[in-house]
Amino acid sequence: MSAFPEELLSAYLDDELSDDERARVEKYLEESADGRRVLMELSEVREAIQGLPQLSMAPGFAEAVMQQVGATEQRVESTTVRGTVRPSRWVASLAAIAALLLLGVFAIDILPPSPIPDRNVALVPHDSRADDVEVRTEKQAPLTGEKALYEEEEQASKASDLFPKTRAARENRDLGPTGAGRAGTAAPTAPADLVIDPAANPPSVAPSISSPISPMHRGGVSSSATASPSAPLATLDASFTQAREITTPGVLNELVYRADATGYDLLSNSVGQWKAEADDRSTGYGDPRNSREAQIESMEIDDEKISFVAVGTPQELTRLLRQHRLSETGLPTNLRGRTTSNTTASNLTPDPRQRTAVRSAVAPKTFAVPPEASPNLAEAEAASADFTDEPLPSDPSRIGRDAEVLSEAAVAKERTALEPPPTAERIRIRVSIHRTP
Amino acid sequence: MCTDECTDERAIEAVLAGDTGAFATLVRRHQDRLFNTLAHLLCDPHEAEEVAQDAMLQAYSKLSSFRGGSSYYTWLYRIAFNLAMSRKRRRRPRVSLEEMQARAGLDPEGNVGTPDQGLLQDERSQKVHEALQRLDEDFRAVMILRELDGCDYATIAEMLDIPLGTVRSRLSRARDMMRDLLRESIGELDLS
Repeated sequence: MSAFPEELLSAYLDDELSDDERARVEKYLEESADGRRVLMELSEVREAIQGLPQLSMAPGFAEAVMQQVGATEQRVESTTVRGTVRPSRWVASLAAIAALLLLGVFAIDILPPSPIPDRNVALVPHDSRADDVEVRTEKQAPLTGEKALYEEEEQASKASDLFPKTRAARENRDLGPTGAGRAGTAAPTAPADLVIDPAANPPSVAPSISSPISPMHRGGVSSSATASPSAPLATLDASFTQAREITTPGVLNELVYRADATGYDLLSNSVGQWKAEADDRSTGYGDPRNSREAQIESMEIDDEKISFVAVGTPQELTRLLRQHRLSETGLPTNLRGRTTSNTTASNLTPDPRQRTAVRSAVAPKTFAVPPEASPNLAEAEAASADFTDEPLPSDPSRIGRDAEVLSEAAVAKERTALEPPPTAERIRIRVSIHRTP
Repeated sequence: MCTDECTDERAIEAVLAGDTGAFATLVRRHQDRLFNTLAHLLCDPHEAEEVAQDAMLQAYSKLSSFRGGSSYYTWLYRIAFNLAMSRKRRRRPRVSLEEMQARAGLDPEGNVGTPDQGLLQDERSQKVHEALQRLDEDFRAVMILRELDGCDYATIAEMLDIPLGTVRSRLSRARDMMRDLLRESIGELDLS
């Protein structure tokens, strides 16, 4: 082989040379028999490869893909409103982000009296300096731009993987008005700490909250608006046992991200899907009271707010809100006014795929509820494990019978374990996410 | 309504406007080309089909992010190539020449009518196929895209996300290696 760069001969074969290079190669080929031989060999290699059979896709491929696309389409419609299918909804979400960039409010309202006792639930900003709870939060850095969008899409994708999207689920968005909620409002910050106090009597009036939200969007609740990010963002009055006043400067970016994700999820009707999922996952064999998931009773979306009514135990509601990213830390850290000190965000990953693990991890020790009120989910998991790990009897003739007995025992045990503890009172909350111009 | 005569651009517009069915036009138009390339790249028609399907679905879900800076097929191939490489990292390639031949319409056991000719053809294809598989993936990819898919250097560079000069050098190196490999196996047939 000559010292002439073979790379030039290869590119000459492909007509991918500059004029100068081509002239150089042609001059070389005129002078060198070696060069011509190499070029011929390269050409023969090309012919050999080009002589490989052309393969065709199996029949029915396009139909199979389109079938998958149809399934994807359903998920996209119900979980990712932006992008290919419904860009206008994404525009709406962006508008919500822009609005919430200025001022945003998450409000959880109190419904009128109902058979299920209502409780005031306030989403209040959490500050690490707050002395009534200790929540070590793995705080996410504010995401902006493409990264935020990507993260958001991933989140929606994860949710869509876990929760099959049904037409019924999508239609839940269209459920009718949910009653006359009163807008007790608290400005969102992140991380926000959900406070649920089932021990408190249902207040006769909504908490009075100082919030930067414009009065016109607050449903008649008196407010003292302030737009300064360094001013107190939320103040609950004395009727709320966990009233706190927290100043959280520099939270606007985080707020925008949270509002974005939340508005996005809700606009894409994830709530309805969660409701369907909660129904599906009701482990109480048809009795919704045995569900380990909060139930979304209704949902409404209008130009100014998204609101829904949820029923469940404080723990269930906490999980629900955390999944909605309405609460970063999410735990009912001060149930019954108690303080927990071992709550960590790492136990409370919002990734719904890890919920089973989360249950095991957090229950009962990390829930700040009395032992008798704990959901005792670990025991439920253990019951299931006991059954699957049970060794088969040595006498083969007994296998079927014993298996049946074991199965019944396991089911009974699991049923018992899944019964809501008597003190885990189910409450109804109304959650409103307001947009402000 | 987008028919099979629609350009890629029109079909994409239609899909983005809500006409999901228009995506079928894109699938049918590019499925064979994509499959042929992937099958030779992965040396496994089954895996190639799976990757092609995943790539099509991913292309659908990300269609709104397609900016039109390159051709739709280039963009699609890039998705598929990334998926294929991701799979290759998890799995060793499976050699299945018979399946490749079957997919090409060649019956690996159907040489009764023209035994010598068929065997020779099959043998030659097999040697080339085996030599191709012995190349590193980086080299095989540029070789396939150039020789089987007919892509120019710029397109290959875009598809593989590598510089133009790298395409040229890799292709030259790949040809050199293929020449040596084929000389070993079928040198007496064609290559001197």
